[in-house]
Amino acid sequence: MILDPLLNSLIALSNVLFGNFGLAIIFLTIFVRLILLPLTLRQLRSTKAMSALQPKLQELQKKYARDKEKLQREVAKLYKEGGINPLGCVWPMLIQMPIWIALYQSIIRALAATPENLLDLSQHLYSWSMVSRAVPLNENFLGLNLAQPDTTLILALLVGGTMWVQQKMVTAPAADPQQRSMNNMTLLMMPLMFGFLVLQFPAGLALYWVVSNIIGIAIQYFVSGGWGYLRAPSVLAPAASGEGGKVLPKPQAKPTSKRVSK
Amino acid sequence: MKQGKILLILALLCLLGLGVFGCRGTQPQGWSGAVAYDGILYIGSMDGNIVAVNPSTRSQGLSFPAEGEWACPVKFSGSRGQTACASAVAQGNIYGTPSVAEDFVYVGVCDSKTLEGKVFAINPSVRIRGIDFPAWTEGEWIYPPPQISGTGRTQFGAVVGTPVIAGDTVYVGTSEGKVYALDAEKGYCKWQFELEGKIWVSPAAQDDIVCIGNFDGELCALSTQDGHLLWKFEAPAAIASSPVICDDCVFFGSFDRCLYAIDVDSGEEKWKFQGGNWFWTCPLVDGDTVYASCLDHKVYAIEVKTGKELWQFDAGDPIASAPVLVGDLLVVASQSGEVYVLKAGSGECERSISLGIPVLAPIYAREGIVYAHAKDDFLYAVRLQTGEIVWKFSLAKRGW
Repeated sequence: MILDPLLNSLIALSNVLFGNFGLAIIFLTIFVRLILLPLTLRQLRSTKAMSALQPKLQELQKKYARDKEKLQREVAKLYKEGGINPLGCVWPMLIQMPIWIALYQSIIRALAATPENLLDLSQHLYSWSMVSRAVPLNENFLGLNLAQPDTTLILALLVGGTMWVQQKMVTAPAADPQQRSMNNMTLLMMPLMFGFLVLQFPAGLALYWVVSNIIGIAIQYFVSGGWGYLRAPSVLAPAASGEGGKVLPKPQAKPTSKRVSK
Repeated sequence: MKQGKILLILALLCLLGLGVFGCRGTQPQGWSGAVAYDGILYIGSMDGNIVAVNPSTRSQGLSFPAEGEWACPVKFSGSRGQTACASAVAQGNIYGTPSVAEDFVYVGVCDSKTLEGKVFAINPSVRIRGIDFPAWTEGEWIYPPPQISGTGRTQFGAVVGTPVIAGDTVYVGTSEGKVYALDAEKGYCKWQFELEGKIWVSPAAQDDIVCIGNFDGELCALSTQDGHLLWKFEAPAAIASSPVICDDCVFFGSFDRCLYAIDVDSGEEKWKFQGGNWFWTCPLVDGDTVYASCLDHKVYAIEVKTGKELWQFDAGDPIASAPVLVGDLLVVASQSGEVYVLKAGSGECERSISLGIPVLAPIYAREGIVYAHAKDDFLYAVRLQTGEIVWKFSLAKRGW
């Protein structure tokens, strides 16, 4: 339902953009991200609200460390008072996933790197003449062959790097060792995995990921009013630091000078 | 923390989904048709072998290889541009049907990962003896030869079409947009001509002209003597259908969903016929009728002189396999694996045979038997009169 319209739009866009498929990928990615912006903003706000609750959550965990039932009730009460759904950042992502998968599939199909792919493509094209005449697409873009994996590692590093930045911006440092461990694992594993997968996928798909991540970073920057937790230390000092219960540093809106401890 | 775990699981599911959906689309396999010479069928398998099949021994169910049978793997080694995960020796993909001339079998292959190609000249009498390929002293050769390929001095693109032999020359087009004329006996390059767009079709040769089309929509006629351009016809869309020359006309299909008839001497358009989708296969000409199968599920019979439709037959599924004429019967296979036997004069369906497996390769007919190479890499022999599957033979893993 989504794939054929996206696929034909991608090919038509390529035809409009002087036969440049790389530009078409960039433009369509921007367009899809703009359409999904309300969902993305909702997801980010939910994540932000969850992060703001972290100090109180950690206090509750310390207070009711030995009473799990009481802890669960207090946590649920805290969410309810704050008007937060703990899965509020998840369902927007679930809705977006089919669209991302359709966009990625349409890029793969449009490239039609093999005769089998080209034959299969014929059954997905509309009868628009600007579409049938554009195929097969010009797979060269900025020295890359979009139909083949990029063996220079540049795209792999860009995909992994932008993914890491995007995640780091929204990942609050944690004093709890278990939480910290989970955060570190998520921060590292996803960029590494995607960076490795990029070496196996056509460069056109990697280009889509890079552009999508950069847009995600830009949206995050404007929603958070800055770089978020990008420059925050990953490990926090324990709560008994004499700071009056303020365990988390505020996300930095602008580059600041180092705080000098008295 | 719970949220983090959920996000992590979702991300892993997403990655799994990418793997399941196939990050590169359909894997390359090839779709070589069969050709017969001296009682033996020659065909390319989907795992990169040229296989010689003796229909007589197959119908008796003898073990392979029996009399006259052999398999020769086509390999690429030390290819450029491979990732660190790729094996050092890769199998080739064979899309074109082998050509046979002067007791030699010629085939073009491609490495879909690196987009390199080669042309092989195989001596069946040497293959039967099991000597390693190529036996240079027995007349076998590879182009480009191993001492040149892989050094960066020669970029020979993937060969997706069938090499065509005319006289003592092998003509082949490659994905780098070049047309090569190779000496059939020694394997050296006589001349080459460069077009702009990728070539994924077989050339057509008649008298002193060789015609070929490319993805830029150019149909070029070259002189067989030295490869100079005689004329060029520009279609509005890419050409992936191999041209056929008959008398004074060249017929080919284009991605603008049209079948074209071009004057072979002047390159002027005589007529064009509009279909519902791409004309993917090579048209078939018999007398004053041209038969063209189309990805709009139909086979069309068109008058050669005027381009007027005589009849059409709807197969219900896309037809990617070139049809074949057996007497007054036209045989065509659809992508769903149905083989239709039509009356060539009217398009009326006499019978249909269900193989159940998609057929993309050109079908071949000889002595009342139709041979179809299906997507399961089996070669099916079907008796035309009764529709009975006489035998089927797996082409996979014969040469490794």
